[in-house]
Formats: sequence, C-alpha cells, structure tokens
Amino acid sequence: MNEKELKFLQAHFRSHYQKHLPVPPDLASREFGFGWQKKIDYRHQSFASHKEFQDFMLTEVPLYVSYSLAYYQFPDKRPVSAKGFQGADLVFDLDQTNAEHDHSAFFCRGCLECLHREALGLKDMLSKDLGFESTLVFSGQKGFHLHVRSEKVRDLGKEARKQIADYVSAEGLDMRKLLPVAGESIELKFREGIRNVPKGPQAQSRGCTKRAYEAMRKAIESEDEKALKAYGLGRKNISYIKQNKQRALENLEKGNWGAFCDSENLDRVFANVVKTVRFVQTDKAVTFDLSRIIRLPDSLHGSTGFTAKTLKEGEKFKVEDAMAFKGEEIIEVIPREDVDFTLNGEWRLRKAKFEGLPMPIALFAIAQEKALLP
Amino acid sequence: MYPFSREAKKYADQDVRAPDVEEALAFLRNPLAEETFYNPAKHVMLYALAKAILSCCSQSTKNKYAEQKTREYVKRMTEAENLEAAREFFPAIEKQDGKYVLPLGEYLSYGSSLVHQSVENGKVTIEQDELNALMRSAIKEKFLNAAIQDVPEEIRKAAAQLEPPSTAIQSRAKFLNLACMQYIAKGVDEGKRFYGAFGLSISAKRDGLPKEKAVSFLTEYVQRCRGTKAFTAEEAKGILDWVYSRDIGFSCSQTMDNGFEGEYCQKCPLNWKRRKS
Ligand SMILES: [Zn+2]
Repeated sequence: MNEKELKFLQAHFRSHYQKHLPVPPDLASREFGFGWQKKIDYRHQSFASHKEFQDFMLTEVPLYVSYSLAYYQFPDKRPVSAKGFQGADLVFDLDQTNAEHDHSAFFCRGCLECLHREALGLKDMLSKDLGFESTLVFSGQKGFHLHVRSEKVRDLGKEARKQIADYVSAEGLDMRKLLPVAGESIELKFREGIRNVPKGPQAQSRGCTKRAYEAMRKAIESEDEKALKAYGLGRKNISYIKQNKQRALENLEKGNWGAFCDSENLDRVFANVVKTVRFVQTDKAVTFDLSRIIRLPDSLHGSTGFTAKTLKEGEKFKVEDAMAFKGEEIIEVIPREDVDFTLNGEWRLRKAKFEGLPMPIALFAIAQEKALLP
Repeated sequence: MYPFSREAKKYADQDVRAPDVEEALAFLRNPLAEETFYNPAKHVMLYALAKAILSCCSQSTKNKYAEQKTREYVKRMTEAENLEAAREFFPAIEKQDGKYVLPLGEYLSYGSSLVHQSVENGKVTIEQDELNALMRSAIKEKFLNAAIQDVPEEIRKAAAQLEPPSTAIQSRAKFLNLACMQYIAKGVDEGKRFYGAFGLSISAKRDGLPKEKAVSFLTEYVQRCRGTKAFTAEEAKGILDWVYSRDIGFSCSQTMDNGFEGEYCQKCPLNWKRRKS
C-alpha cells in the first residue's frame, strides 16, 4: 500500500481507536502481532498494561492487530519455547464454505451468509456436544472465528485439540466404528421385521448420532424426498417410506434402518446423515497450533475497514453492521480496476474513472487496494 | 493391588538387590503370577525395576514389553470389572447402563478417537472396548515414563538381555560392516539419531545397497533408537533420500566428529587418526 493511502486509513483508524479500543482478556499474558503492509509484519510484542497498549495503538496505528490464543509468562520472548506457555484458548476458524450459493469473486456476501450459518451450527455443536460455550466473532473480512475461553480448554494439548477439530468436521469418521453393531458380517435382505439388523442412530443415541436420528426422523415425517435422496436412499426405499411412514418411524426409533433402507447401502446412508448434522469445514491448524496469533476481536481489519465484531448471543449478522465508519462525506478515488459490489448500496467502479464515494465505501475500496486517492 | 495405583506409592523406595533384577526380568517376560499380584510390596518393587530396565531399552523393545504387561493388567481389570483402577486415570468415570461416562477432558488425556465417540454436554460415553483402549495407553505410559538418573550397571545389563539379536546386513558390505556402523545400527540415543541415520545412509549407498533394502534397514534402526522425542522412520527416510540423490564419500573423521568414535576405532582398518600419526 502506498504512503498516501496508508496515512488515510491510519487517520481514520486512529480516530476510531480513540473511542473504541479493543482489549483482550488477560492482556498482559498475550503475545501481539501487528501489520501495516501485511497481516503480520512483526510479532512477539507484549504490553504490561492497558495504557501501554493504548499508547502503542494510537501512535503506531497498525492496520491489523493479532493476539495469541496462548497465555504466556513472558509473551515477548522468542522463540516461542522461551515464552513460558500457560495454556491457550480454543479457537475455530471458518473461512471457506462448500455450501451452494451465488459466488462472486470479489467480496462475496453469499460466502459470509453461508459461513455465518455454519458458524452458528458449530457454536451449537460445541455447546451441546462438547459442553463449550463460545463467542462468535466476525473475522473482519471473509469469515468467522469461534473463541472458547474457559478453564476446560486452557490446558488441552495439541493432540487433544486435533481430535476436537476432527470431531467437529467428522474427519476420519468410520461409520462402522461409530455404530454399536457392525453391518459387514450380517447378510441382510431388504425386508421388515428382520433380526440382527445393524443398528443405526436411534432415539436413545447421544450427541451427533442422536442428531442424525433426528435428521432422518424429520425427513421421514415430512416425507422430504429431496433430503431422503441426499442421504442416499433409492427410489424404492423412498416410496416404501411414503407408504409405511408410521412403521418406518417405529423402526427408526429402535435404530432398525434396515427396515426402510437397502442393506448394502446402510453404511453409506448412516455416514451421509451423520455428515449433514456434523460437518463444518474449519482451518484446523488454527485450532491445534498453540502458538497461533489471530485477529483481535473488535479490532479493525486493514483490508476492509470493518470491525472484527463480537456478535452477541442470537444477534443477526449483516456485514453493514460491522462497518466501523459511518458518514456521508464524499471522497474522490481513482479505481485501479473494474469492480462491482454491494455494501450499503450498489457500487460500480470503473478503472481510472474518478469516482466520488461516501467515506466508508471509499475507505473499503482503498483498503481492498481497488482504488487510490487522487 | 495394581502397582501404578496411588495406594502403591507407600511401597516405593525399597532397597534393590541383584536377584531382584533377575526377577524383574522374569516379571517382564512372563505372565503376571497370582502370588505377585497379591503381594503388594514385591509387586511394586518388581514394577519399579521393570520400568527402570525398560528405560534402558531400545524403543521397539520398550514398546513390546510395556504393551505386553499393559494388556495383562487391562484384561485383569476388565474381568474384575474394577472401576477403581480406572479411576486412577479417569477420576470422574462412572458406569451407566453397561457403558462408561467420563468428562471430555479426561477422555482426551488418553483417548485417540473422539470422532467415533458419543459426546453430549461435555461428557463422553464409551463402550468397554474403548475403555480398555484408554486403559492400555494410560498404563503403557506409566510403564514408559521412568525418569531415572544414573542407572546401575546390573539394570543396563538386564535391559540388554531383552534386546533381540541385531539383524545386521549380511553382505559383502564394506562400510556397513565397520565396527562404528555396527554400533550405530544397534540404535543410538537421542541427539545422535540424526547423524547415525546419516552415517548409515552414506555407508549403505557406498556399499551399493538397493534403496528399498536401505529403507527397511533404516526403519529397523529407527525402532532400535532411544529417546523421549520421536525420531520417525519418515525423518530417517528423508535423510536417506538426500544421501541417495548425491555422491557423498564415507568419512572416518566426520563419523568421529559426529560422536561415534569408540574403542572399536583402535582395530579399524580405516582409522583415520591412527593412520595420520
Ligand atoms: Zn461466495
């Protein structure tokens, strides 16, 4: 970024931080990293007090602020092994989605919507399954972070965190190990009342298996053909379910999926259903890398001018709500390329064609390096 | 009484005699005798000695005996349905409807398959098989966690008796048959494992050993090495790949500098120092 644009962003960031300075819990035990040109130009910084941190932020005005998930005795020492590790928060980073949506290459709001939905699903799973209460934070640009700050997670090692990351994404899941009776050895024909049917998720199941049971029950109850098909049930199975709904539900309750699903398909169907209720794509390294530094919640993001906003329980997410800057003042910019985007209105910037934009939009275009100041 | 239980602590710090070392070897090699199980003082002493012996063994031998003993204890616990023993490692574990329920944190301390467990509200419900797996890794860790300084000579000798005979490469090998390489091939300590692998790789290449043979030779070497931090077959293979893709001569002085100078050098035809003087 050029000097002129950097100064422009810094002036606005400074005035924002004068009023809204984000401070992480246990400030003195955290390592900080800052960036002006890159997300992290340097790290291994620490602050003994709120005042020290404030002075730094208002003098140096970094465009990116990251802090350690770990708590250290000596946060500024290096290498990391000299810092005196004292535990770490647990964080999940969602920045890529497979969910279907109209994707746009530049500033995709669809991605954000899908990721927000997935993050809420993960938040719910963390709470219901693992017993972790988490805080949902917008990353300030493309995704979301879930922070678990609790004694329960502080001492978890790397291996334990890897297992948790695998758990939430169902990675390495082998259905035969998950279910009480293996389906392999049992010769099964598609008929009702059969004995020794491999048991699938049932009313008595717990955790994610229970949710798989509920997902299937819902699909059967509402005769949701699209869902049943997505779970891998064939046409014959689906028409059986529609004609014998009550019976199918009774069998499902006992885990007898073989009553309404072809035996050779059982494993796959179980797996499909479990994956729909438990599959979140996260950047795993963030979850198990104990020396990771991550965007400080409620700090500004230098590539957007958005706040990495902490979302309150049940709060709806709208990217406009994360825009740190308001104001009607018009700023002249020179677009560096053609870009179209929606942000508090529709914007069409054309390369080298001067454009007067409201300050928050101009700031966004400049931060994205899509426009320069004249 | 289980020798790794809290209760066993009061039998620790007993004097050790040479015949006890012999008995500890037998304890490691043979199934647990009933009278030993019901003689806490003796059991704890044998267990402590067995740990000390294993601490001097190569990684593969350590694993073999620790796993063997661990299986015996877990089998006994399962048969006795002894939840008290499990509580040594998982203090909050409870039995419910034929299954076991424990807090997530306790599960994660020894469990390795969270993705396959039913987890609800921070509690993991596991079947008997999984509890056995947890107990195996917990007890095995107990067997292997001995931090013993200045191990007495008789314990070192006992440890050597547990090691399998070295499967040295029988060939017209010139370099791999050097005494220093034979010494390295038996497995070396942490800190020397890298250079050991390096020396063996160079010798294998110079001797014209086909790469796949060299890989399995180095894999065996890795298993015989000792250390607390892992040194993996992949790491050794990385070294081998590097060496095999280059033309590096065997250097006696380099081998000595890397810490492998020994009495055997006196009789070595290549001894660089002796030739120089
Ligand atoms: Zn998108």
